Amino acid sequence: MRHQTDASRIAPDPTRSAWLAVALSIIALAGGMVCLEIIHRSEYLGLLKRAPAAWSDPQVRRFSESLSLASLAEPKRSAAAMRWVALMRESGELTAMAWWQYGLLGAPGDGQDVRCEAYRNALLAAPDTSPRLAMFLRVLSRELVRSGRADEVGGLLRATIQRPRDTQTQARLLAAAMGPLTHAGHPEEALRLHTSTLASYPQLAGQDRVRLAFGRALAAAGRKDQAREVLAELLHADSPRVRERAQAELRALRGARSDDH
Amino acid sequence: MITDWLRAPDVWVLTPLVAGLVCALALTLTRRWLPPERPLWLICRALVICAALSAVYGVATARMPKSGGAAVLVCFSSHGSLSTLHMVSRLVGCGLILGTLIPCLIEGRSLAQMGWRWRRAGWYAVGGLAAGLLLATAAPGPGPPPDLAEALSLRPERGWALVPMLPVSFVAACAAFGLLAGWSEENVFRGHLMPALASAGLSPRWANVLQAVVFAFYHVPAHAVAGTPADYAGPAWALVVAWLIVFGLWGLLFGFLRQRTGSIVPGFALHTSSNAMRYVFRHGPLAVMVARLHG
Repeated sequence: MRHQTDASRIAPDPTRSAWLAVALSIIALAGGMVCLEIIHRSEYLGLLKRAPAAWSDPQVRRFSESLSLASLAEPKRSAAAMRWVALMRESGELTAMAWWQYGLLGAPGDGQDVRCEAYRNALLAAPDTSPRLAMFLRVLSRELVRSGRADEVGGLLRATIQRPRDTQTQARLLAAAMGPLTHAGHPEEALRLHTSTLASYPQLAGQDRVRLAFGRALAAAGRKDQAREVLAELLHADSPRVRERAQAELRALRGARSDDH
Repeated sequence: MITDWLRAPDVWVLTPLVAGLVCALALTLTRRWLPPERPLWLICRALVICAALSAVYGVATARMPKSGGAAVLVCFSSHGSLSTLHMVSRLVGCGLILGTLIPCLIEGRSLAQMGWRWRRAGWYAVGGLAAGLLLATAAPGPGPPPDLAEALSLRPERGWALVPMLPVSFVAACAAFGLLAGWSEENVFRGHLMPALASAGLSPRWANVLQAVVFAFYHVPAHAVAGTPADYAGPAWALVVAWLIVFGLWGLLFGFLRQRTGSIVPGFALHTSSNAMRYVFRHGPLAVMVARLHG
């Protein structure tokens, strides 16, 4: 109580101090404005120095438009846009990472369409040998499924799976496209994708990742006996990660069965 | 040239400074007609400061990308100098102008009156930090955004590589949250608003309850702007009610500590450490490390 009484007392009219507070606030705001101006100038000049041709590049233009910024003639950009545009001049992999990070971190207020566009650009920009192709495909498929465009995943996979030469990467891509469909409640779509892809790429049928994705989709589609059969075979897979995941799926299936009972 | 950036979207980083200036100017100009020496006006003026803080918090949440802060603490900064300016602007606008200059220089309340008493402050700080750590450990949150964990491309066995980053990120988070949440919010709500309510004749208990209610509503705009969690399927109003209850309880606890000890330090320490720990656990290296180690 004593503290309350002390604390409630207000000092007599400190008008001069009040104006001092206003003056200090004005100084702080002016400092902030100067800092912002310096940041904009240095980012812009730095960009021009690093990548003078960047501004006429249609890809850069599209990138800038996707950031909802003003026309390219004006040197006002967010610092993030500056950085990514500069990165885009480097290499395919870096460009892809820049697009992917833009989709991930994004400009504030960006919608799903902008994120999809960024992830799609990441996938397109990535070299055919990139170890991240499957990751880009997975995040894009997830975004498409989230925005109700699950039917586009098939076409996307068909366009992407032709790019890598090795079977393992192709298997990763098929699994990456099936995963979001299965998890988002479209297991039948995932199974159709599996069937149609295997018709063109029969060598993928024996790949552990593909079989794991297939088993998961079967389980999600309610075809539990078939799923158990596929997953049980994976308990002897070479990859310990695949073995673990198959085991976890089987455990989940067993749990679901006991729940049913 | 100097006006170019006024049309640019980045100008929002100056929102805390603008809010601080507008608030300071408005409270100074109205000091003669709405004097803070009268309890009713004192409360109204305190609510104006709360509203300004809430608006700044909301704008900052709306404009900062969700994973941006995490990126800064984990390993890289994607927003560079603009992000730094935003942090400085919030520290000055909220911590210095709204949380210190206005209550002290305009409203006439000294730091001692706000509860900055240094007797046993060390013990209070240690207790608050420990309690914050325990709370964050008990409810570590959903972990880092999955894409962020992917970004690091760490193999599970290499998760321990992030251990040396822990103290750095914790100290950085404590410094940032200490000034943003601990200093400004404790000064405004427990240091200024609660005594203002008490000066209007309310009992300490009711003064605490009312400041907790305002503290709960203060958080709503920012959380509403941030949107519902991905795994939440219930109605939006239930989420708002849940926020009000959670933040109201936190406000009650901080107010109780302030009244019980007569010092603002325990509430400040608990507020800072619980915010910083939650950040380190949810977005910082620890979150990524735990996520990687547990697959």
